[in-house]
Amino acid sequence: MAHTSPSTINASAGLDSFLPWISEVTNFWFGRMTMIAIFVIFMFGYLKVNKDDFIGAIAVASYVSFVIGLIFWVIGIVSGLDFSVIIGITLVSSVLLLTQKKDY
Amino acid sequence: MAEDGFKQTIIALVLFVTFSWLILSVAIDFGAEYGRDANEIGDGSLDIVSFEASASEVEGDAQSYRTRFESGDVDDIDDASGIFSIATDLINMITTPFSLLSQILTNIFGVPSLVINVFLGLLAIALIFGIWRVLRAGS
Repeated sequence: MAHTSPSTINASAGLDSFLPWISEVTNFWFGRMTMIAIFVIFMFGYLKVNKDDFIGAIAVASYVSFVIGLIFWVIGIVSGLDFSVIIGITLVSSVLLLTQKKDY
Repeated sequence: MAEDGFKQTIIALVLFVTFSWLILSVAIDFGAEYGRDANEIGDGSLDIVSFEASASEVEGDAQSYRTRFESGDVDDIDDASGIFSIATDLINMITTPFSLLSQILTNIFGVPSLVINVFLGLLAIALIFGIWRVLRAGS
């Protein structure tokens, strides 16, 4: 499969012209691995501070992934399917977070 | 106890619907503002054409692997596109069933994208923790 040459990119337009090219040549794996890295870093960072709150860690990591993923999706680094997976994780973790305490 | 369980289920359901509406509307509105197609995220439609395209792509990939591996030549397998291409192919082979599953659910059974989002989200969480568990067992 032939990819666009990097020399054809107008780099003066900023990173949002260059990053979609990286995404294209790596078949969206660049954005995918970046999102996984962000999720894992924030989750374990939260867990390091608050060891017992596992669901909270997933929720915080998924909110961060959602906001960054939304911007990445608009730029074209993350595919629609990957972003929908992030939405799924956000929904699941939100509901788990809000229903784990039984004293309403 | 049963009453408490029911109350919790109802609250979970209400929260799930509210959060779904909130998060999806943010994503779709923001995407629409910047000209992104939100069909994959918001809608679930009966569209056999895109499933056919996906199935043909998988078949084409499989034929390509076969030809390259049968030739037995390292240069042919590499396809002059670098080691990253091989790594991508290997991971794509693993993820192809999931991608096909989501295509089948959306395009043949017409399952709403929201349901598939949640299903794939659970699958992604399970995979991340599955890998973590394997690594911890190994260490």
